Amino acid sequence: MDGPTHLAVGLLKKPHGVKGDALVLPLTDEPEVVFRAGRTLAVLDRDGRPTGDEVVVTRSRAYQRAWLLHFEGVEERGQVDALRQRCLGMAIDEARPLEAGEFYLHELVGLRVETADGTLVGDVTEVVEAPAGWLLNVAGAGGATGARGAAREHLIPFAAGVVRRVDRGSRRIVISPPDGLLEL
Amino acid sequence: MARSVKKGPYVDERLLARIHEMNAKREKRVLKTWSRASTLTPDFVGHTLAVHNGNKFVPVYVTENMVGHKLGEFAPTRLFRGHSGKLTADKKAKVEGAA
Repeated sequence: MDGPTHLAVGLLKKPHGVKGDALVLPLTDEPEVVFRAGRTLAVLDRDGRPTGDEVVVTRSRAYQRAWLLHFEGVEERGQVDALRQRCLGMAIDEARPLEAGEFYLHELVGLRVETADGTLVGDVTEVVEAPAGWLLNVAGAGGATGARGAAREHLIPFAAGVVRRVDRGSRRIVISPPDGLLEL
Repeated sequence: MARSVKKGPYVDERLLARIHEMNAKREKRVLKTWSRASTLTPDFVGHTLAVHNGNKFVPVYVTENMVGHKLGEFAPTRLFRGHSGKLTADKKAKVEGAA
């Protein structure tokens, strides 16, 4: 299976000021590293595919919940306007190697979730960020439906006490849920 | 004004009693609760609580660094679902001890 070649690290929302600064919403855990001056970033479309253009960061600083970036050769507001709503990305090879027990969110989506005794729970449809940590949103197996007729969904904490193993090779996650978790 | 130190942290009595009961039996079971104002004490560590957020129950696996916070802090009433679905963002989730 062909995987993505680039990771999106920011969404260019709009120009900031009249001197070519861009307001970028970070889509990375490490914006201070990724947006460091001198870094070359690829321009991606909204689906994450490279457009072939690149920008080089010359200045960057955190601004409220976003970052203000200035790119080499971009000195006017109109030049930034052309990049509005585009994503900035970096090649997967340039990303920091993952630590043990660490996964990209897109790697988890689509994995099959099973209990330790082999009972199928469902497939991961989404990974949701919550204050207590990441939650796997798992669409129930076997066409089970919830109270309102929608597909039954389970929220599973992505925590060591619940998730026993994540197996990229066989594309499955083994969990040992406490009693009652799958009945919520 | 902060709560009086003399009283100690607020914890729903029935919830704490159920936690103590499970600790005595060395049992792990998800407890549903609406008590978002309850403070997490060390007795809760390692348990999973289903905290109501006004719409549904959000599972909260309690770890040591959550002690002293209130349950409602971990079950947001609005869940941010992220941006465009097809993007492969540079975001990582970590589970300690996973192979």
